[in-house]
Amino acid sequence: MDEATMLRLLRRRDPEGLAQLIRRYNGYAAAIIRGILGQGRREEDVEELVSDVFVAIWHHADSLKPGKVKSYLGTTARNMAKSFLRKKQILPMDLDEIPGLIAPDTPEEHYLAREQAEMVRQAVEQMGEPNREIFLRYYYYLQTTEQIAKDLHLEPGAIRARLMRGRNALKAAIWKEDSL
Amino acid sequence: MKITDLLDQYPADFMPFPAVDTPDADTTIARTMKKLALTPRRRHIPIKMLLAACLTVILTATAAAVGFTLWEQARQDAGLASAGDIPEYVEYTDLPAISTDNPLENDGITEVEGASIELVSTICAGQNVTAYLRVSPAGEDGEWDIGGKPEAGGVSEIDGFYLFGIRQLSYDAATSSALICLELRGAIFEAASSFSMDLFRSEADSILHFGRFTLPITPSETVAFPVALPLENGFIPETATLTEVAVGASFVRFTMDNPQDFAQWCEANGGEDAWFQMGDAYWGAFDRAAGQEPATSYTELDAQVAYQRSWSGAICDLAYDSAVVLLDGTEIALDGAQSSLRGDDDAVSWMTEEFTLPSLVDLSQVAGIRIGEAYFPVASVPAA
Repeated sequence: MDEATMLRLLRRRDPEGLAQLIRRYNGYAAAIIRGILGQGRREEDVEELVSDVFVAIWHHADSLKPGKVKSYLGTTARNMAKSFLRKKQILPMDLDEIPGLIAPDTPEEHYLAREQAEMVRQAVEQMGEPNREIFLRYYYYLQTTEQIAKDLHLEPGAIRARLMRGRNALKAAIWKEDSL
Repeated sequence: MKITDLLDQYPADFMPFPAVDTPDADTTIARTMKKLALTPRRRHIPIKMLLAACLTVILTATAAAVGFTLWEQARQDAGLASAGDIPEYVEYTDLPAISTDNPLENDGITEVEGASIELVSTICAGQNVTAYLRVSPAGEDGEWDIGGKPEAGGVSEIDGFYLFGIRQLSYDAATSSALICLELRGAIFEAASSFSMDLFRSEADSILHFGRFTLPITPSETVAFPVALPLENGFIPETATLTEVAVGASFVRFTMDNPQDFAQWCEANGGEDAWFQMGDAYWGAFDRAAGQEPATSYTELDAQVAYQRSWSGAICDLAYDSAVVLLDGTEIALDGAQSSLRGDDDAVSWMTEEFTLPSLVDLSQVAGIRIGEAYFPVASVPAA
């Protein structure tokens, strides 16, 4: 079944569309969640979060477009795994903050936050490889510097140096935007 | 603000983790459906079916290794003991080549040189077509798909068919070929004599095109039982009529006639007020059962979907207490069978719910059908 057909069934609230979507993307969502939860994960937490991802897809079916489902699903899986770690108070990287940015609350702040998100996306895209990959592995997929070093066959020190460059590039982009 | 939070809207276009196969899809489906309270159309898997499925998986996975032929593997997947048991199951022992080169003008698609698609067997039953194909060159696994412009012999209007599933069952390294099971569904298959599509396989960075293939669609029998049973909607005080139950080699189809379509029902129940009445009756019931507060308003779409699904649930309630009865007295229960819905979309003036049987049935061995406590023998069906 192609993705457009699955979405049509989902919008009609036909469980068959959901079942087909799960069969196609279950492994993808599970890989992201297992990766982010890391070594100490419990399998029942993984199962719970994977099904939460598809519950979210079910509720947002009307806004999904064919060809974009995998990306939306990946983002949702990542954010749910991150929230889970935060609730359990085991989310790493407490010190890596950028001051002065808005945590949205009001509708106006949500609008500004969307602008911020686009600005961040552009800044990350401009980092160049492998800095972009290292940055995303660390801040997006919450991998440790040791794990990234192992996967990319680099020294942990080199990973930390490149992360610092990424942070500086991000700060520079944001401060430049603020000063305009 | 934390950097990791700044990336919450970042599109997940790169993924560093290796693929995994746990939890398996069935576990996720069961858990997700439960959370969404999709009980009217939830798929239950009886223990017997589960054991049969496990056996099939084990046999299929090991089939190539222990030297099962392509036809034996296909029969195992279809749940058949031997060829010739079911007229709707047709084997092609000479493996006819059914594909032609059909280069596509598309930058994102790579044509596969020397590609071959051969026909192993088919099951044509009513609106359901299953085909087992040998495809080469292939790999140990693959994500297959069909596409291109569909053509069906004997049918001018192609509408309402869809790909129900496509799976790779095995791989033979000696011939670099894979056995593929392709499942199609749609009303066109009741009238078409053949069906043509293109076959593709997705790889990490490209889509491979294996050419265009044509499946023969063979005739199939259906035993229809005209019935006139009341169908009670479990969410609103309305009644429709179950007018027919039809049994095919792979399915049982229930047909409902509704005296009030969605628009008529809304008009008779206060116009837009009916949206809330229907939405609250259906969605609210699940929210309350889950310990949640139901919504305070519902859109027309919410109400339409609720109306459709409430009737679908009514059919399922009746079907799950039904069984196909064979001449030797054994029953094939529909309790928990996977079903798919068809109808006039939003209107819900009629609807069919088709339940997939756990294994193929020889229609000559069907004695009748039991629906709740009512029994309809084949002999009661008037001659056409």
